[in-house]
Amino acid sequence: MKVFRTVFPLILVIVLAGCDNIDSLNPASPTSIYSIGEGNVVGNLSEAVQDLSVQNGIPDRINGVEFMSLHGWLANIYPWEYFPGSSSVHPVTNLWNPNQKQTFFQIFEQNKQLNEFGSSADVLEYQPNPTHGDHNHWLSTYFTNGSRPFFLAYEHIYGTRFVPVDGGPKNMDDPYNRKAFKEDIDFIFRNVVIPFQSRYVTVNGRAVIYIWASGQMIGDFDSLLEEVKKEYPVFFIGSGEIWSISRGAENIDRVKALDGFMEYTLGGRNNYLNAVSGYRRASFGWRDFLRELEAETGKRYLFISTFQAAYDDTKVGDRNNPPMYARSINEVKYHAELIKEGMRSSIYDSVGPFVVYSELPEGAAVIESQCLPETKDTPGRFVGCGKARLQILKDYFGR
Amino acid sequence: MNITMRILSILMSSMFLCYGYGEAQDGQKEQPVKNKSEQDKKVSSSKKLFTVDVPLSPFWETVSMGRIVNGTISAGSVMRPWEDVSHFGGWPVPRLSFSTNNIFFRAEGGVMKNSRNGHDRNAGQIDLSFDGSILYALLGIDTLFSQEKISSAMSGVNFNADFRRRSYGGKGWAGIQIGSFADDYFAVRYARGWIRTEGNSQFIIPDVGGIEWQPLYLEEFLTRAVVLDGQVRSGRLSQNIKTERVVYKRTKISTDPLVFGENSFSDFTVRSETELIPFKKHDLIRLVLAGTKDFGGNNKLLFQNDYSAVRVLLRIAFK
Repeated sequence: MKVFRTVFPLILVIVLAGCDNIDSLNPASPTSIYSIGEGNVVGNLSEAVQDLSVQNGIPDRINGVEFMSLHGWLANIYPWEYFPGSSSVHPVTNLWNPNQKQTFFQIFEQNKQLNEFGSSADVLEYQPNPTHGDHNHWLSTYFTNGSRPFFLAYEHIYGTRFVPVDGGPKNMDDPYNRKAFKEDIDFIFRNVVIPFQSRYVTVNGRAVIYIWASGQMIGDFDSLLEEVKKEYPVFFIGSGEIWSISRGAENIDRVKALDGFMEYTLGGRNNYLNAVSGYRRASFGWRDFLRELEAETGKRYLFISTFQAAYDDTKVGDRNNPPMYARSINEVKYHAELIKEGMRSSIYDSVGPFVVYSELPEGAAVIESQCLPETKDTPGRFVGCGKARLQILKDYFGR
Repeated sequence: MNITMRILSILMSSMFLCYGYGEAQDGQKEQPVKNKSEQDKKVSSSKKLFTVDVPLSPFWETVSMGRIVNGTISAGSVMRPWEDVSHFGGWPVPRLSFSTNNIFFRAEGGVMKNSRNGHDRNAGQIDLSFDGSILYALLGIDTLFSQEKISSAMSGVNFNADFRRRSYGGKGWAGIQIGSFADDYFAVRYARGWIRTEGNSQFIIPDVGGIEWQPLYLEEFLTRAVVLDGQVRSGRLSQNIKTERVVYKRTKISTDPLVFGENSFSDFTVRSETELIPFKKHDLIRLVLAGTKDFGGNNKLLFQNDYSAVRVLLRIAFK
């Protein structure tokens, strides 16, 4: 009995922590991707998708958390390792250990922090490609950990099953890419949306999937989106579209087929004030453009704002972007004021904003961070280490 | 001709009476009717008239401050409250007009200032209109530019923002005119035009320089209007009545009236101006009592400040 008392907590910790190596040996069936086997291979999936739709039935409606009921900012979180050498934000150790992904307990602590600072939901970076470990990572650390609403940021650019696999635009006229897209959506529905639907964010019962660079899906992407929407109750939010009002039939058709818009970034300009002002002006123009589309299509497009504290990818190799920091905390507050005012005057919908919480290499992450000599504020450069970025979000957008 | 004019004018006046502006009309009714020879003499001797009107009452109708504070001004009168009456100081907004038998030109504009509840309101507007007729055919144009800036109008979480709105546009018309603009007349006009309005804000944040004006709304409208107006001069009194129905049609369709306002809305305004010459021998000095009533949504306020319900103006007239 004594031995049991000593060993049991240890076993519990290991199982709950869901370390990758353990997870791969003991997949949390049935949603571990390793338990699905051949069904996830691109070449064999088209029939499977059809059969599953017919036989198992994808529900017409997801009983999730309605987007417009959320009050607070959206935290974009990542399943990646924290490499100090290539990061310009350095999380505190109770939230992330160097050279590791976050553990179950660190996600638990992170959830606590996000709740404390007024975040309403998470946007999970998610690569459905089975060769990536994203699904099992989230399965072991997030999906059964807490009750925060969430939706997926579908990684459709890097490490994909598309051609090309990494980076660059994807030609959605290519039958292979079209099939891969449908398989990804099917995978997401069967392994994330439906099993965890009580937490999944929806718009009128349609599961939200964020396509963070929809402009990179070139060719006839619009018909594919419409096809998929007929088979799955899905609500696609695009990104990267607002910077130039869409020109050309292909771009306009893609924008029409999307259901909402939410920028991932303000861009890597070196002047923060110019970036936030430019973003606001572009947003105003975009809302105007959406109004025209709404009148034409009868759809109501969602437009969610984006808050960005900084941009600094100087530690990422092969990049030459200038770092972008606010000159003072008041410039960051000004950005928040513009978003708040934009919500009030209906430029943005009154939900959000979207905020990168834990993408560390590009320096925008607002996660509680270590105040190192390189991340401390200096005259004319506001970094906001510690909880300073979070505090601004809480003050402006907290629940 | 004069009998026709009188009948038309009385018809318009009685319509105005129905809406509770009878006092001015009563005054007119009490005036003795001149005989025809006197009238003809007057018409022939009043072919040119130049007037300068200076408002004595400083009240103007404007958009409710609450609508500016909460950023819903562009929704127009679909949301309430919409209008407010403000006491504006500063340089009075004068009105100049020049009329002959078949030409009428009016310029009205100036600067209005107001400081209330910590907000400094500075407005400026100019409105020019021109009518010209040959025989009974009338053509005319009207242009408007207005701007208003309100300091610290909008409250943010930590900082306030100034608000600025600008409108400009114009319309052209064709119609029929009977009589003389400088004396008795009746005119019917059908007008079409375009007007644009925009609102901007600028946050006031210490230690952050270079903050730009940011757009809050921008709307354009096509306008159609039917205007009836007429004037009767009789001894020391004269009466002018103008009714105007304007329909505004949004050029960019609004998909949500509570957010962007209605796609089509209208104003129906009746304006009466009664002119009194207090001293018959010194008819240079005159007093004008102007009454305005809007039976539509008073949507004009989306573009500019407008006359309050009752105004008193000092008129200096040169024949």
